[in-house]
Amino acid sequence: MVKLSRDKRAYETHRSKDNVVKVPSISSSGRSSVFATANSTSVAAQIGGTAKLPCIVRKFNNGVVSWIRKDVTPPTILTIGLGPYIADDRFMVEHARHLQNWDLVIKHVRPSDAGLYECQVSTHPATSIFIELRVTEASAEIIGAPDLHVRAGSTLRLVCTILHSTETPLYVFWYHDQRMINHDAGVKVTIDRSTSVLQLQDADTTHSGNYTCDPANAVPAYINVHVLNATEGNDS
Amino acid sequence: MGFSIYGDDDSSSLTAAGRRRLLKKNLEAEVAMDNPERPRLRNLYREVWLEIMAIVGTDLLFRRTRVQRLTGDKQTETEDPPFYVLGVMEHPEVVKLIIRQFAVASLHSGEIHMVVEEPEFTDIIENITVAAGRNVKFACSVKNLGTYKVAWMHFEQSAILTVHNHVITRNPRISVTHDKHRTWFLHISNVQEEDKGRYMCQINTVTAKTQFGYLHVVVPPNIDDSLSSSDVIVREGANETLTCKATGSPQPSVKWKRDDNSKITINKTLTVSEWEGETLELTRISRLDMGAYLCIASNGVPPTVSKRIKVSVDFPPMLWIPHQLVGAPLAYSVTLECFTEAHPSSLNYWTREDGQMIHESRKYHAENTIGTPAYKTHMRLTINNIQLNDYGTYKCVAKNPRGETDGTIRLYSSKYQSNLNEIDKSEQKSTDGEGKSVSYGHIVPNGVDSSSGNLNCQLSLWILPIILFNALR
Repeated sequence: MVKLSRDKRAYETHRSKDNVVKVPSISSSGRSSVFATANSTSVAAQIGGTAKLPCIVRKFNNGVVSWIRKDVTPPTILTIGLGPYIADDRFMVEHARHLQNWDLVIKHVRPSDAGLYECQVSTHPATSIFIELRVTEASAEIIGAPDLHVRAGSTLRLVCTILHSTETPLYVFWYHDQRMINHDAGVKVTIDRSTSVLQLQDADTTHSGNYTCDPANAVPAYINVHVLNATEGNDS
Repeated sequence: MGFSIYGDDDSSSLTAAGRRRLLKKNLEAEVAMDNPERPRLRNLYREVWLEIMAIVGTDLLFRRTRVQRLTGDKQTETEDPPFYVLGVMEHPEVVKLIIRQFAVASLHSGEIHMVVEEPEFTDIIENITVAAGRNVKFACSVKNLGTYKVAWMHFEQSAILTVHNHVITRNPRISVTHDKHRTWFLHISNVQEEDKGRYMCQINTVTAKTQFGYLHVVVPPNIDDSLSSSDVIVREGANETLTCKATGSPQPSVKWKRDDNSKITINKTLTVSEWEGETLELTRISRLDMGAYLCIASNGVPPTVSKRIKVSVDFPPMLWIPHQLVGAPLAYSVTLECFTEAHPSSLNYWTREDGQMIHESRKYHAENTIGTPAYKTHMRLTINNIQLNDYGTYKCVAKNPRGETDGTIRLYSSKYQSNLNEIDKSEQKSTDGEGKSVSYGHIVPNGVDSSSGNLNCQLSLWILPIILFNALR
């Protein structure tokens, strides 16, 4: 005969003891009372540069803000609170109390850093937003490449723009053949945001050759300059 | 992170092993002096690392001739015997070496290979199955932890629970302890069903190391009253489905039994002692199906639960008269009987042919006895001191909300003086040619038990007395 608890639980309804108030996770519409940064925000960073993934947290209640790399298996904890967790010292947290931000900063960005990152607040259950990091490769481009012909005596002007860059380069080096151009006489280099202009007055044949524009953390660009004598190119 | 140092040499007064021991001892002593805690690792400066790494590759080799002494700005190659390491680093690839001249002459020669050991798991995490409400503890065992940290995370919820000995989550049921940094325990108290899933133990090495353990939560069964049947009243002949919805983890199975352990009639051809399934379908319900039914939910996790459902089968009254013709002499007493079955219980009374209800008095005494099951009633009317006007027709009436019925008993004068003042219902009387028999009590073969449900047999018995009566006339 089966042992039955006829009297005990026959009509009892079983309710969970702790009524956990569920903090709603972010809906796909991005509206949230916890985060001021929208869910699924996408940021870009260039290889070798610094990436900053934003996460502004409004309501807090003494929790901890952490960053987790989500697109890998298993997910990897990067930072917890103000300090890094992972031993890779490229990761850190930038936080200013009055800004309420807990941004993830990744230095010396690599292509493998591209992916999905989770900014999580330690409520129960946890609330988070997801930020996507795209990694671009900055590359230089010289207008007029691959060959440029100038007349002797005229001004040689090379304009180098940097494409797909997310930050102003620390430096832009110019090379003439193998030699770096450094305060040479008659040469002026100006930099403006992501453009570097090399100007050379009174070009002559010695100025012919291969010019390289080499910005920091970018693929360099080349151009072949041909300075033509006054006699050349007359019969065209 | 731990480190081991071993030397290998060909021209020293000490044996290789001896040198190893000596070197290790001194190294530890030096580090301990510098740092009050157990040998710890310091931060490394990239420049130094690059320099050293340039020299040695993946292993750090301190060749006497090649290691450079780093004192202030000047870097000089030296043939002085060896240097020992003051500190090592937190990062397996980066090493900072603060090198000082070592005083022990016997260690002049040889190469010192330094191998950095990363932390590792020493055991798997055991899966746990637990009943809701209890406490559990997951264990993550590591070695060479050094200054690395162990974190616990819930994979499905994607929530960081603990890091080192701090609890990060606001879940009050989570806590963490460790055994000398070797085994890290995640404690979950009052486990709930939402806690189930994979738990991750992660070490923050550059390429993080991770291990998993699974938590199964079992919940004892529970019957949802709002989705299950309650007591029902069914008309005889109708169909009724009883349902019991049960929840629990794992999903419980439901079986049905009758309260009194009698068999359940599923249909004409099938009767079972128990039935499995969420629903129990009773077709063409008969009064025999009436009673309490139990649905029992079980899933291997105690306690098992049950629900008692009372099934009432209603039907209009049925009457059955064992002796429709009763004879008795004057001044004697006689008892008339009727058997009824009705549900709900019927109102039972006697009348004379005019329909006038017979009341309790010195002449008349009526008794109703309830049988088994309770829908059966045995009606008896005792008539005392029979007079001429007592002969005639009597009716027994049964009424209930489902209908009513009645039957007639004819009392006639029997000349024979018999000492019978009661008809014995179970006695078989034969028809005597002399007509001596007082009654035609052709009996119901099985007494008053109608559980065989066979009315046909009784019907023929009713006819018999009527035929005989006519014959008498």
